Formats: sequence, structure tokens, C-alpha cells
Amino acid sequence: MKNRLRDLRTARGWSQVELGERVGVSRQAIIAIETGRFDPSLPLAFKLARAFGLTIEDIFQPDGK
Amino acid sequence: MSVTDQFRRNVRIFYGWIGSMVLMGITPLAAQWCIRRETTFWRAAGVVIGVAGMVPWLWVISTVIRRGDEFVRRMHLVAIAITAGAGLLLLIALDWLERAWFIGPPDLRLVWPAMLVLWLVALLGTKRYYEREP
Repeated sequence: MKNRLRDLRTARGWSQVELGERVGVSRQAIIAIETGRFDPSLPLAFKLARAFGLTIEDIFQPDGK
Repeated sequence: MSVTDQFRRNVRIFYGWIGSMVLMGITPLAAQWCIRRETTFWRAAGVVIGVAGMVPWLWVISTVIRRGDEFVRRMHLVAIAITAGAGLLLLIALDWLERAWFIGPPDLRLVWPAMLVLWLVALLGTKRYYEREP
């Protein structure tokens, strides 16, 4: 699954630690999601979407799209 | 949970980890001392103490995993799966090496520390995999 997490985070000037604190996960989790190696659970995807004021589909896209 | 509470919790876990490591170092000595007394009771006590010495360390590790976020739990799950597979291969390889008379009976005192090393390597490798750009 592809995602725009890094772009969205840097556009807001947040560090990986700051974003992690906002959604309640470690910096390592944010790194792994940004590199695309780790797909978050649905609850975490919702938290990330809420943190950016977007929908899940605005952040995550299936590989085929 | 506030940052201070989280810090205190992490410090408590760290002290627990240090304490469990000390226990893990001391209990084999105590177990050996018991076994050297040679009666059935003391030998059995040696076995119990030797095994029990590992339990606090495993408990601390499981606490760290349970309290981690979903990524930490995933990372440990993958590392433990790799360790189980590699450990099984190691045991099978030792079995066949012994059957083919290349080695004598494997020393279990080397096998279980090797499993711990495998676990550490698997954990570091898994961490590196998830942090590396594809």
C-alpha cells in the first residue's frame, strides 16, 4: 500500500516523533509506515487521518492505483 | 498517559530488565551449587532454580512487547518467527551432523545461548528491514 504520510507530515512541519505522539505510536512505527514497509491497522489509519484532518483514502492508496 | 508517566514506566521496565539480567547471571551459579550436593532433592532444586532464573527476563521481555505499539508487536512477532525457524534448522543440522559422526552429542549449554543470539540478530535484522527504504 502506498501512502502520502511523509509529504503530509513535512508539509505541516511535524517531526516523526511529534506525529507519533499525536497518534500514540513510536517514531519507529512512523518510519516503517512512511517507508511503506508496514501497513497500519484500521484504528491507527483512522487516527492518522484524523491527525491530518483528512480521510484514510486521502493518505493511503492501494498499490494498483 | 503523560510523557512523565511514560518515562517513569520505561525506567521501571529498564530496572526490571537489569534486575532480571542479574538474576539470569546468578541463578546458574546457585543451580550448579545445588547440583553439586548430589542428592535427588538438591539436584531437582538445581533444575528448578536453573529454569526459574530465565523466567523474570522472559517476563520483562514479554512486558516490553505487550506494552509496545502495533509496530513494535509486529516487529517482535516477525523476529520470534525467524528465530523459531532458524532455531529449528540449527537443531536439525546438529542432529544430522551428529548422526553422520561429524560431531559428538551437541552441548545444550551452547545451543540455548545460540538461540538467544539468533533472536537478537533476527530482531536487529527485522528492525533494519522496516526502517530501510524499499
